[in-house]
Amino acid sequence: MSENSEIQTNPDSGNIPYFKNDPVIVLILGIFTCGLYLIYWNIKAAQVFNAVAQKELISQPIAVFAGCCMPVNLYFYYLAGKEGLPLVYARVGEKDKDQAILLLVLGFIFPMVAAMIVQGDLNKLYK
Amino acid sequence: MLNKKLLGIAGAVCILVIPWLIGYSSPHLESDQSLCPLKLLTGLPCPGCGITKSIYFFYQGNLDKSLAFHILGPLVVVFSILALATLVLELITHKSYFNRWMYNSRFAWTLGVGLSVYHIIRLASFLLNHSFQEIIKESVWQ
Repeated sequence: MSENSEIQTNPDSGNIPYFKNDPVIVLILGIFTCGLYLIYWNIKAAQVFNAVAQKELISQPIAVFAGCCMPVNLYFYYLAGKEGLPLVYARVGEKDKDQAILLLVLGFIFPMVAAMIVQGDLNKLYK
Repeated sequence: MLNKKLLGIAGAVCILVIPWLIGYSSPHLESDQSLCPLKLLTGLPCPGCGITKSIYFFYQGNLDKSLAFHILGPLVVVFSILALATLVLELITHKSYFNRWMYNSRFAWTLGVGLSVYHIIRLASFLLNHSFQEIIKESVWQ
């Protein structure tokens, strides 16, 4: 798959890859594929965060292991909450909030729920 | 950037030390209940299940058992040591090494496909070798 074909862009979102999903679908697919979907989800989420930040915020090869592997998922969700999501909020004109601790705790207890929260916020980019 | 490097160092140290601590504090590591949320919920392993046990048995010098728990266990140890050395070196020299690989999308997709294929094979093998009762026993629903 070429780089260009895997990045579908939304005309309203500049060069941000299109990655809009229902958060409940993330939870359901995460469970029913036994974590396989989360490998894909983490790569795509890292791609979106890097595009929003316009720099390499989260390493995609590291994100592969953030689906379920501790403590890589904690690293992923901490960075997403601390640096990634504030940039998303700024882009959509929402009030800034620090989700790092919430995502860190959820990432430890139930990573799929943390993924749901991140997906919910990423979806705001495509409204 | 400094914060990210320190987080990376902390993560690599945790990956290397936690299996050792768990192994030495648990006399029945092989049969102990997994703490993976997915396994607790479904009884089925996630893509990362077994890495802690794999790393512990790698430390014990038991490569067969290590690979049986997870094929990536020994590689994770090597990667963590390399990451630790690289990140410390980057902090000292204020330069970045291996960024070409660490932020390479194609490399990420290759790793993702590799891990997925391994997980599918492992899941199939797990389902073929375990009865429904044994799978439920691995979860919190037993």
